[in-house]
Amino acid sequence: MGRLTGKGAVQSRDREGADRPGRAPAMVPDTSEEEACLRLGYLTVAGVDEVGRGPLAGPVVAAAVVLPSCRGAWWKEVRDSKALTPLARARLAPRIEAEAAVGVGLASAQEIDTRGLTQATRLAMQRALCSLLAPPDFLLVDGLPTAWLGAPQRAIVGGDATCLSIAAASVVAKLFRDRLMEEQDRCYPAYGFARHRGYATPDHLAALRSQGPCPIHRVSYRPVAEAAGLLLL
Amino acid sequence: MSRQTLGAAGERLARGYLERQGYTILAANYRCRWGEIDLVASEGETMVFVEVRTLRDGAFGTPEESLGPRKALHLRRAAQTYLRQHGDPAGEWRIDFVAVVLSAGGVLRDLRLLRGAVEE
Repeated sequence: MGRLTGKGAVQSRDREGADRPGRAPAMVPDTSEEEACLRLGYLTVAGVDEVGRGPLAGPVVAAAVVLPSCRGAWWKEVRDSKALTPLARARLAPRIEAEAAVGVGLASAQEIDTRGLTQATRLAMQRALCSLLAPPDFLLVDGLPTAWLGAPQRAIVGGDATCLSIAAASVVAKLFRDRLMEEQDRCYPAYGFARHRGYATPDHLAALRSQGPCPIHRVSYRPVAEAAGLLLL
Repeated sequence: MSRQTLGAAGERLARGYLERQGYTILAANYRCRWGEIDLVASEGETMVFVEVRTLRDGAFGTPEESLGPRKALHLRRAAQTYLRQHGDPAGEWRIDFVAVVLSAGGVLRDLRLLRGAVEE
């Protein structure tokens, strides 16, 4: 069986995404990075972000967004997906998809198990870039530098909060994954995927213990392996 | 998306592209009695006057087709006026054309540079 990453047991990141009271207001992402790229002669710049590294089930989803060259009315509403309510994301995503160039790619739970999370995330990002209409000539990627994705890139830690095209990609990826997990809930209704999208909530862990894992569970994750009886300590 | 923002977006893209090609941008939106020159640049010793045309994908015709003889004449006159004011009227110069095609939403689809597009 695959390696045990030990991830997923406690993943508070991106659990709900709702604006919680008492939190500092979300940062407003801007296009300074995109403009810097344009000054260097990179004309089509894609923001790339991924969602779903933490959950115990379902794929990791990546999105790539190339912003239009003229400012859209929706730009000022874009935030990091975690700073938006599900309703705000559902309203924003179609407006992003209507004007920007958008690509989505995913890597399955099996791919995460066999290749490891880092490689699977890279695969999802590559697939997102391949599904763009035209290949971008520069990438702004959220997080730490990743392997070569087909174009020169700049990795920006916290880019989903500061960089507009990465923030837009985070919104598209999040909504895509949430919808996907709601569909998976119909195939595997025992786990409550529509509620927790595969994250390790108490009711998910309880269902996992009583039902055992289903085909979209990541068996390389410790709680899933334990529930499957694959982990002998 | 208005005509002005479309044009401004196209000029920003053209500017980034030309700078990467090694052009030095000297002025933007130079106006005189003959009209406007979108970008004034130099490439080596040669002065280059650049007309940028931006079209949305699926619009009728190509950007290149939208440059008529009358506009070409005015561009030459404007270029000569600029050279008299700012440069060396006897030096080498030419007029380039940048065609920018954007998607309906405004994402860059194509950018073409025609060197020496307008004959002297």
